Amino acid sequence: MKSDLEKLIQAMKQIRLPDDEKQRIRGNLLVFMKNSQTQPQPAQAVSKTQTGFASFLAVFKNTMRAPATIAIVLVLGFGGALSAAAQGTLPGDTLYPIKTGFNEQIRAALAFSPNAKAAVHALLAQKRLEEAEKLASQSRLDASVRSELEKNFTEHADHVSQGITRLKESGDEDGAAEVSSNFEAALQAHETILSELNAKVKEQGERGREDSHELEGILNNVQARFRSATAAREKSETDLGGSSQTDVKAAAEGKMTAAQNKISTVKGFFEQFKSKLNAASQAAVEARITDATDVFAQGQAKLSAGEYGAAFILFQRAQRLAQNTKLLITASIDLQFELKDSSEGREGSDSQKPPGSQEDSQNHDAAHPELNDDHATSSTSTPTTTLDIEHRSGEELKLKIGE
Amino acid sequence: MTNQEAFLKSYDEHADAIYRYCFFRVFDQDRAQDMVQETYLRTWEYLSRGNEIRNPKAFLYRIARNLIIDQSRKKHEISLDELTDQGFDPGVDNTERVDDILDARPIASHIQQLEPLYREAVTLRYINELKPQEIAEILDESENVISVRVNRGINMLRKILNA
Repeated sequence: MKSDLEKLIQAMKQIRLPDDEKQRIRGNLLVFMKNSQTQPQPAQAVSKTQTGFASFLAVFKNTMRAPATIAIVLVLGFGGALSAAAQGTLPGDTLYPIKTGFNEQIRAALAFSPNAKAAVHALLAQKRLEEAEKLASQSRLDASVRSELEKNFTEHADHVSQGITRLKESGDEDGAAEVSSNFEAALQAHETILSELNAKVKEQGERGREDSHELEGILNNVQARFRSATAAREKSETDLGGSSQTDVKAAAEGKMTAAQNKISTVKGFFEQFKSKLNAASQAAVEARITDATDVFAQGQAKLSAGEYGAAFILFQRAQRLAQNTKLLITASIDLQFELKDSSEGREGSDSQKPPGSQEDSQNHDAAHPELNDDHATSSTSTPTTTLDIEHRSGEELKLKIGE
Repeated sequence: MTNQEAFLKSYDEHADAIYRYCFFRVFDQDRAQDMVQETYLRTWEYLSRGNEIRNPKAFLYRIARNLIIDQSRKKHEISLDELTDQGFDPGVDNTERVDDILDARPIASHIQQLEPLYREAVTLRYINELKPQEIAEILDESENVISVRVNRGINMLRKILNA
């Protein structure tokens, strides 16, 4: 009669790679290895008395030396010098094809779980936007390049949507909400970045106006995606309400941890790079971080009160705020534009505003009735309007673009 | 046997064990699979840079272990690569699930109650069936420390089961 311990250990030993997955990985390894060698390697007889890697290693060291092949080997990401060099490139740079044609495709192919797959596509969609932004800030964004970037962005964004749908179909409401929330945060950040950038380049003469034209094209695309991402996320949040209470509680607790991590990440990030931001941008970031912390606290209150669905939504919102802020800090430094403090208007068409903030936004609206609080729908008005916004403390922060 | 064949042979032999090791750290099938693949990819890359590997099995476990540690750290640390010249990483973060373990399996719930240090030792010893000496090499500890850890871990596990 086996002891419980023995039974447990037996059960654990049963865990293994499913055959099809084992084969799939094996196939990937083969592809990877094949791409590591541009010259066919002669078959080498290996002594049967040696074991493990030692045997083929002795052989290996003799054959895998040609400098040209090493260069190609290093292309395959994971720290390779060439691949790393390709990472920051833009359309027009020599190594750009390696970045998109190779590094990214391998990365996408290697993601297994639906969550990871969707996340990779979300990342790549964002990379296209970043490239467009960088090019525009360098006056290199012309029509054909923009068209390519936008096409690629759209492909990846479509994959994200499909990924979200698949997650929901498989019953992973939690995962679907997460992916769409993250993507939404990123899209919102880029919407802000593209508008700011657009305003900046417009003032740079003829060339600037061309860049601006291209930027506006992308901006419209991003705004549309943002709206549908918001809608998808809100639907996921509603659908989550249909799950069992224990499931929602678990999801809320998980989201609390995630939001907490994101907030402390952005705080640390801010501390680290604070000196690279001007005073106004710093203030704007601090206000946003305070926002995220406040929403988080509201979520905790809901959690204690047993309102798990509401708690989940609030935590997810706090996470988005934090993520959004982080992206904006990065862009502000990299593309050199100042961040503005837009108070409650930040979350856009968020119909889930917690009761606490209603007062603030009402006062805000009363003070500035002409100011459209709804960030997402401001696309119909020109996105380049310079907004004078009253800071919470009463000072006026004029929007200044770049240096 | 060519280089590739030998490498693939080691995959055929050890992939399951590496998978088991990873699974009982992250408790997620998909992620454990990702890690197995990543472990072997990095090993191949390491070899292709002309390096030597004295003990292939230990090497594989070590790479897998480092991957796990890296991923669980990512949640808490700011990546310093974020703002380098190599471009942004918008930080789409799907690693939050490492500790978010809601596996319904009864085995998982028992083994999870064990502290990570002991869990690892017990897993390597009884699930991966490695000798204390092998474990010592992977974890860079003395054999003694490992034996003690394994025994304590097993005793704790017994208590958990009988609770």
